[in-house]
Amino acid sequence: MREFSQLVQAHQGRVYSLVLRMVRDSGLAEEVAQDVFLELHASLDHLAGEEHVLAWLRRVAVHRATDALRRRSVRIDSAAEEFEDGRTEVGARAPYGLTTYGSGRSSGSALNDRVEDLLATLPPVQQAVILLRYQEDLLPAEIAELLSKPVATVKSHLQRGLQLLRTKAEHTLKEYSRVRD
Amino acid sequence: MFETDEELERELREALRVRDAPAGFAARVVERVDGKHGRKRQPLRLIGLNAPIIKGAFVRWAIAASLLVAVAAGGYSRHERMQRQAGERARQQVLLALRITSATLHSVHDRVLEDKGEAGSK
Repeated sequence: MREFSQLVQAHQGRVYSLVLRMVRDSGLAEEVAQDVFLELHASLDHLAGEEHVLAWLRRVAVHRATDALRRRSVRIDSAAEEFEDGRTEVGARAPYGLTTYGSGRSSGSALNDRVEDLLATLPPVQQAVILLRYQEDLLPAEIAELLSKPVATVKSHLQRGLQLLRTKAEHTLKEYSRVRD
Repeated sequence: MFETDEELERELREALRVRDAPAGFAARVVERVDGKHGRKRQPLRLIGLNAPIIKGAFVRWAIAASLLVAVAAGGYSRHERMQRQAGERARQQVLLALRITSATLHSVHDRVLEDKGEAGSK
């Protein structure tokens, strides 16, 4: 296995991206991502190889980001429930931290930024599953093993998460069109 | 906004590509790790326990634990000794008190006998 500093170089983007897309605050994301690597350093003796390290990093990054969200008491679940009930208050209960996203915001595309904004309004578990699926390109079975959840549960989170994203995106587009007109 | 699931998935993959970490991130992580290890290792280095032959964390902890047990055992022996000494002092005081009492009783007994003798002769 590579030296610790080489592991950091190899995986820093992945870990930072996972955390940033969940907590939506570049300062907090760096702090949490650094903590993940410090924990990796303490756990290296127990990890068998590169594959094991990668799985470990994904799992711990998601868990630490979820913990950070909980500590910050982001009212994501309430926002998700509003859309599930058909209520359409755009802009209400915007996730904390969007305004402090800061220099890390630009992904080179307004649509990409918008997708990330919408993703951040989902419950943490759905965010995590979608990130592991579409950022990390993991299959539902691999996500299930990583998060120690049944495959059916992961697929359910994935399906509901995508559905919510689509609903929110359509609503946002309608509101945008209405405001313009 | 997204006509099909495939379109949504394509947009998600595009939007969620791995980004670069902030500049200097790796260096800051390594700095924190080095700083943490520096703080941890210092006490052991002072008493020479950081020699290559005993670098293993388990060995260092075993040695530290043994030292603690030895100090605690030494402390307990001293405590025992002090307890014994205090007990001996108390025993001596009791014996002294008994001797005084015994002497006093003898003295009183003798006086009583003398008084009886005088009374008898009158």
